[in-house]
Amino acid sequence: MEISPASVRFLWRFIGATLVYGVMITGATWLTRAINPPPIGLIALSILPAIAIAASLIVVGLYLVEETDEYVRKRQAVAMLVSIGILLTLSTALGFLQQRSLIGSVDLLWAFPAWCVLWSVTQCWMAIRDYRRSKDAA
Amino acid sequence: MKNRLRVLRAERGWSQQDLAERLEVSRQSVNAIETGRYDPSLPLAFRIADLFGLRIEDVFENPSTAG
Repeated sequence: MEISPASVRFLWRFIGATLVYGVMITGATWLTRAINPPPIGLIALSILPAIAIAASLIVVGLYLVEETDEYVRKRQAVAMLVSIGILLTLSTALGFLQQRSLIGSVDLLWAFPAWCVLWSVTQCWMAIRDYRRSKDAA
Repeated sequence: MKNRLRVLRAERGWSQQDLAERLEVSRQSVNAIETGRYDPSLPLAFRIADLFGLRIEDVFENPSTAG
């Protein structure tokens, strides 16, 4: 399978944003323990890693803008929407289960990693489906 | 949308990869268009028609007039 120049740029940018996310989480956790910040500082340190997530999402958006292969771009957009749909459905179901005290609390910070995993799984599923369809059509 | 892409490509002895490189798209795109799984945009359809020196309607079947 070929990888377009836009995909290569996306991968490097995404890896960069993920590394920044890791550094921000580690740094914020260390600082919180080390300096015992006041409430406003604690809020700032807690929100800081989300900036890296916002950067990751901007990277995803840039990829959709820069991808020149319209078929690949459409497939990626569909995969993103399907994974967002699954994530929203699952999180709503979890919310109702929590509301009725059927499960404990679920950390919301897993939403973005979960979306990334779902996006990858959806792409794999689409690739297998298309391969089977093209084999049938041949 | 039905099209004659596979036939036109075969007449010239091009592989899907050859055609993809000429159109500057991925091989998956060519495969998806050939098998009718993806309808190209108007600019890409024009590029395809231009590459074969044909009109769009000579490459792609008009769905509203197809029998």
